[in-house]
Amino acid sequence: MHRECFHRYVHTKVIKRMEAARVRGPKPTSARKLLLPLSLGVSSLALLQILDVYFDGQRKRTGRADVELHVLFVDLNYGRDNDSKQPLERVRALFPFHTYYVRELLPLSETSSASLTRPGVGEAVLGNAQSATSDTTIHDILSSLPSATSQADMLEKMLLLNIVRAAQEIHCESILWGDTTTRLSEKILAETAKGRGFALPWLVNDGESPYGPRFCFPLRDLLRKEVSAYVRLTQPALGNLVERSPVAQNRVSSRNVTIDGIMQDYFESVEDNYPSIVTNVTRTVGKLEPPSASSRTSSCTTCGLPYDHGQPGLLDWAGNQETRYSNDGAELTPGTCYGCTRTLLQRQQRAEKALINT
Amino acid sequence: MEDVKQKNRSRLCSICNDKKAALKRPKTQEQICRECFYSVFEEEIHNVIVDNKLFKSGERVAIAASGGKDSTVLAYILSELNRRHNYGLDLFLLSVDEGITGYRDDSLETVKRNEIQYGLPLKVVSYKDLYGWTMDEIVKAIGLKNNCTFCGVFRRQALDRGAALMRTDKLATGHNADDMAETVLLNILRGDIARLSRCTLITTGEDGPIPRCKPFKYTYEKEIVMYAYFKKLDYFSTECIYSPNAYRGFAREFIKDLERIRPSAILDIIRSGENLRISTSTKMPDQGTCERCGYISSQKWCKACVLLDGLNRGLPRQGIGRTRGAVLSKDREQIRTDSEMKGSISQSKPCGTLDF
Repeated sequence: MHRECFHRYVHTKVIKRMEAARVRGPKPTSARKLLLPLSLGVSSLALLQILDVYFDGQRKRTGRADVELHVLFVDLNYGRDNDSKQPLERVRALFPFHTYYVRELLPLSETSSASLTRPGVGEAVLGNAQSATSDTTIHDILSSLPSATSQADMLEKMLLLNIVRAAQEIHCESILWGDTTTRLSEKILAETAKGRGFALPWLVNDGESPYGPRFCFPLRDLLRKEVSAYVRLTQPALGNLVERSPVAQNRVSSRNVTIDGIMQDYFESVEDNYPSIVTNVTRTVGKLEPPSASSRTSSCTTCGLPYDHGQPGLLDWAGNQETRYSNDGAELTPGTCYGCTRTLLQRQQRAEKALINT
Repeated sequence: MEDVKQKNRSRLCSICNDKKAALKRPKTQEQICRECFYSVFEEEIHNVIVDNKLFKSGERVAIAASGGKDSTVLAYILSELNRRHNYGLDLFLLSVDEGITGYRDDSLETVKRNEIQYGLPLKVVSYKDLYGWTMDEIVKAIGLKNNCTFCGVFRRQALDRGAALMRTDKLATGHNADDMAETVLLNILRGDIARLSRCTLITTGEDGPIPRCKPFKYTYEKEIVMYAYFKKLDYFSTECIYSPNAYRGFAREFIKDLERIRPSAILDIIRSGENLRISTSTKMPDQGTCERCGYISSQKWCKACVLLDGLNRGLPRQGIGRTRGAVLSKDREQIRTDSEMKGSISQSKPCGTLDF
C-alpha cells in the first residue's frame, strides 16, 4: 500500500470509531473532555498523534474546539526516577495543544477509604508534580502476591483504577484507550483465563463502563503491526518517543511468565499469519452483553467491577469444591469478584501456610 | 532436628494427616495420599452428579465408551457410584465402530473387556451399518486432510442413533474440564457464538430426544489419568492413526501452558464461559430438523446428510468448507477465516470429541 493511502487508511479507521462512539444528544455548551491514557507505547502514541491531527483539523475548519483532550501518564517510577518524565516532555513539545498530567500509581480501591488515595491529578500537573508517599504502596501489595500472574493482574487493575479516578477528577466523559484489536484479543483471552468472563463487554467494548466515564477503543479496527508500521512511517517521527513496556522487559525468566504474557506471545504470532483470527476474537465479544442490572449486586473492592454477590463464590462453586478452605462457608476474601478472589486467595493461602510453619 | 520433623510432617497427606503423601493433586496442588485421592476424586464426581441432578432414579443411561482413559474411568466411576449411592440407574456401554483398522478394532477389544470387568452390557453401532461407509473407505476417498470432519459429524449422530436404538434416557460422555476449557477458547477464537453459548452446559440437548451430560465437567484430565493409573484400569491409549498429531494441537497446548502457570485456570475458563451473556440483538441460528433424516439441524439438511450425499455421489469434498456457488463478500471473509483456522488451530482432540 502506498504510504499516503496507508496513512489515510489508519486515520479513517480511528475516526470512524470515534464518530461511532460519540454520545448522541443535544450539543453540549462547553467542550467535551476526553482522557487519553498515555503509556508511551506504540499504540497510545499513535492514537495521540492521529487525534491531534483530527482535532486540529476540526479546530481550523470550525474555528473552535469541540473537544478538550487530556493526556494522562501514570508514572510507575514516580519519585524514584527523575528521568521518567523526559519522554513525556518530548511528547508535549510535539503535541502542545492538549493538557498533560502525570499521576503516581497509587494503591487505589474502588471502595477503599480516602487514606489510600492521593491528592487529585490537578496537583500533579506535569512540571509541578510533588513526590508523595503513602502508607500502603503498590510495591507492598504486589510483593504480597506470590505469582507473576497475580502481580501482573493486580498491577493492571490498579492502573485501570488510577486512570478512571483521574478521568473522574478531570470530569472527562470518556476514556480513549489505545488498545489495538490485537491487544483487545489478548485481554479477552487473558481475562477469560482469569475467570472474569462476566466483565468482558465492559473491559473491551465501546460504551458505558461500570466505572462512570465511557470507554472508547478508537484503535479497535487496527492490528498492532499496522499501528507499529504507522508509527515508523508517519511524520513527525514517533519512533524515538516509544518506551518499552516494563511488563515486557520482565518476561525474561520462566518464573515471570504470566497468563497475559502467554496471550501476548500467541497473538504476536497469530497476527502475522492469521490476522482474521485476531479480529474474530474482538468481534465475538462485541456480540456479548454485560451482566443484567439485577445481577450487579456488589462492587468488587479490588477491581471495582460489579458482580453478583448472590452467585456462588470461588469456594462454593461446583467447579472448585475446596470446601475445606472455607470457614463455615464464609469467603476468605470478602467483597471481591471471582477473578480478584482467585488472585488474592493465593496470597491468603501463602499466609496460612506461613502461619502453619511457624 | 526440628527441621527434620517439619520435613516429615510436610510429607504427610494434607487431608488425613496420617499416611504418606503419594501425589500432588493437580487441581488443588495439595500433597495427598492415594486413598484420600480416590476418595476426593470420587466424592467430587458424586457431588457434581447430585448437585446438577444429572440423573433420575430408574433412568437408562448409556456411557459413550471409546476405550480411552476418560470413558473407561467414567464407566468405572459411574458403576461404582451407582452401586454405592443407590442411584438406581440402568447403565450400559455404547461404542461407535468407525471402521479404522489398527485403531478402533483394538480399542473396541478394550471396551469388550470393560464390559466384563464392570458388568455393564455393551452396544456397538458402526459407521458401516449406519452410513454404508467405514472411515478407512472415507479416507481413501477424501485423503487425510479433512477426514476428522466426517468422523466427528458421523460420530455425534451415531451415538444418538445408538442411544435411541437402546431406548436410552440419557447419554453420559467423558468430556473433562480440560476439554471444556479448550472448547470455550476455541469458540471465542472461531467466533462461534452459538456454540459458545451452550458449550459450558453440563447437560445439553434437553429439548431433543436424548440429553447428553458430562459428569467430568469439573474433573481435570491429569487427575483422570492418575486415577486410571493408580486403579490399574484397563484402557486404550493409542492415538487415532488418521490424526497422529491431533493431541499436540494449539488449544490443548495452550491450556497446558495456562495450567502450568495457574492450575486453577482450567476451572476459571469454564467459569468465564458460564458467565458469558449473548446479546439479545445477536442473530442465532434457528434449530430445526433435517428434511432428509429428521436429525437436529439449523440447515435444510444436517451436516451428516450433506457429507454422506457427497460421498455417495462421488463428490467427497461436498460440505467441506464453503467453496461452492456464489458467495457474498461476508461469506468470503468467513471462508478465509475458516481456512486460516484450520492451519492455526489444529484439532486438539482426535475424532471429534469436542462436539459439544
